[in-house]
Amino acid sequence: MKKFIYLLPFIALTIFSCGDEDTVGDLELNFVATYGGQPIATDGSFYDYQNDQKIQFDEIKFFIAEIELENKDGSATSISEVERIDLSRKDEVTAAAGESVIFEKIKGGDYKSITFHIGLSERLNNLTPSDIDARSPLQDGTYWPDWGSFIFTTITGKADLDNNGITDHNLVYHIGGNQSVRPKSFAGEVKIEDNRITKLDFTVDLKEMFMANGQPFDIENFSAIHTEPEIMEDLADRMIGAFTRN
Amino acid sequence: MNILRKIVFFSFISIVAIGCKSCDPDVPPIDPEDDLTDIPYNSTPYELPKLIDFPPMLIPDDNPMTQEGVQLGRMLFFDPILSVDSSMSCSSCHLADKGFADGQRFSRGVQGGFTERSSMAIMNVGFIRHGLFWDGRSETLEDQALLPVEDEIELHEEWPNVVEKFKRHPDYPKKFREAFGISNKSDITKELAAKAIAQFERTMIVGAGSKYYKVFVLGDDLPSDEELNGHTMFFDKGSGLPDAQCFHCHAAPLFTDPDFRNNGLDSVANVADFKDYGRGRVTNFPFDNGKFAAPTLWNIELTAPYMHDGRFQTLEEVIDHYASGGHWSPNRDALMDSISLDAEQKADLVSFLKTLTDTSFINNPAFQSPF
Ligand code: HEC
Ligand code: HEC
Repeated sequence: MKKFIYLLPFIALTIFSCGDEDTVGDLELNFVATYGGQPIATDGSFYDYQNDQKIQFDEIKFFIAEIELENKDGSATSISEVERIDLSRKDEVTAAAGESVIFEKIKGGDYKSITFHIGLSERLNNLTPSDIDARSPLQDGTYWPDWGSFIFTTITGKADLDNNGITDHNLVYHIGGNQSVRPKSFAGEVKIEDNRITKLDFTVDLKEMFMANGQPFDIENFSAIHTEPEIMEDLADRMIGAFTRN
Repeated sequence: MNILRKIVFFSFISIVAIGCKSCDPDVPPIDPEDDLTDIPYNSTPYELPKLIDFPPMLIPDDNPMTQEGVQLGRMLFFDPILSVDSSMSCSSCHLADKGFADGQRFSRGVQGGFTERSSMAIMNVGFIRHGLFWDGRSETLEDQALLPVEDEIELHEEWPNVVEKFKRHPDYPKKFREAFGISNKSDITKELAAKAIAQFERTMIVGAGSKYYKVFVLGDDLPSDEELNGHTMFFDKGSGLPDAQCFHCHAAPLFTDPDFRNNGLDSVANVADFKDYGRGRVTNFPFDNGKFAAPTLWNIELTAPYMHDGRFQTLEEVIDHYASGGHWSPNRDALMDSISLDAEQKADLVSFLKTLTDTSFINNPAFQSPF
């Protein structure tokens, strides 16, 4: 799957390289889903919502796209067009390890930040699965023809609203559509050195998403969101708040 | 990525293996009588038919599709030579007139025993990316095709015997040569047989002859009111009709889903209580117990009975199940909830499902026995 992605920077390098001082290193991006700092296990574990209500998570999956490193002069080095991240994990230990994507042979240097879209850029989202290479990560997602969009983010689970230990309320959040993509830049030096792996750690804290700034997302009245544009955009905004670079 | 790594690994092993053949005293010398190089080898690439909204198929680099490979695979699929007593073939449990399933709750194997789960319809299997079988335990069609032969219930034969039968056969050595360019009968392996079967299965693409494709994809035909209502509910398109939620787990154009899910067939208080652990047996993750692949709904009219244990005889029973929301279990999918459907709406959903019937697929001469 990654073969072609690795090739891209390599090709770019051969075209643009200008001498011996060019170095290449690897870049690892690691993602961990947490709830208030605690790694999320999709094994029926409960996490606190409000008023003694509890949430469980089943699936936590999303696309990130147009991953770039920003140079100090304002130009950007493209790393990958799209990656699919699946953070559904069977226990806290594997949840804490999260999921990594590794990019090889990235041009060496001191970059000032990393940027990616949470969701798909319009360019990618305007493709359909029949246009795309069989090995693209996009093929691991779901495309909704009627909606003209891939599902960018899937978060599903259940809630126990009356605090009796039994889940009585389904939660299904599908974020997609061109209006729901959110680019985010994560400031901070990224040093790519010759023959070394640089690891950047990201946390996706779903408590930030569901309880953002003391403003809980209304899971009781909005338990299944697939198309409602306003709510979806609210969720997309909350999702962006959930991402931090450690 | 995994697949690529495996391919590299296997080619490495095969280089080592070939390298040693000439020096290992235990390996019998190659019999010049078994030489096949007089038979011409120039295989012709096989072009898969393209349906406009289908994704490209992921074909392993080490098993490109050829006319000769597909033809050999078809012979193997229908040939009882694969079973211990030459009584059964793959096609005994995957019958054309049953949509390439077998119409039974459980399938009777070569010695009278029954399979644990219901046979699956072989169609569009080349597009499956989440693994084959109800629990996804085989990663590729090549891996899958090795299993039925040695399965004690299914064909209960041993591959070394089958390979010997191929070598002695009047046609197979030539067919293996034409498909894979082997130069000697001793080069016939179970892996090559599995590759050929996988190539044949990849050609089994269903859809183009269905009313669904003509109406909802090409726009060349009109749906009946019932079909249109069913379509609206299946895809949650509103218009005052209830959302049946089906498309979340049976998404067009393949009408399947990359994830394993529990659709509420059984009521259990604890995930350890599921009778068939399904996906959980593969992942050893208790919360995966009772989860299964959401099979494709193409030709669903032809592939009763339904579900991994064939518990429902009719599509009407299936719709009743979904309308009820199914039984509660700790890991019943979040998309399962009761749906209020009246009798007419239920019938409309069934009418829509029947637009997915493609009899041109099951009657296609290319998928019938070559014998
Ligand atoms: C005795 C009956 C029987 C025979 C013989 C048999 N199968 Fe099957 N097949 C089944 C059953 C039952 C399943 C589902 C088993 C499960 O999921 O555990 C199945 C599943 C499959 C699947 C998975 C389809 C999917 O959608 O995931 C493929 C592919 C398949 N069989 C191919 C073959 C091939 C190739 C052969 C011959 C080498 C063969 N079968 C012989 C009964 C049989
Ligand atoms: C939560 C996901 C989900 C939803 C929603 C869903 N299905 Fe399924 N479907 C499945 C799974 C999983 C199976 C296989 C279950 C098993 O055998 O254990 C299945 C099996 C089936 C089968 C039997 C297939 C076969 O080959 O035996 C039919 C028919 C079917 N579903 C139709 C529908 C219809 C119609 C709807 C909408 C009313 C629907 N499904 C909604 C997940 C889902």
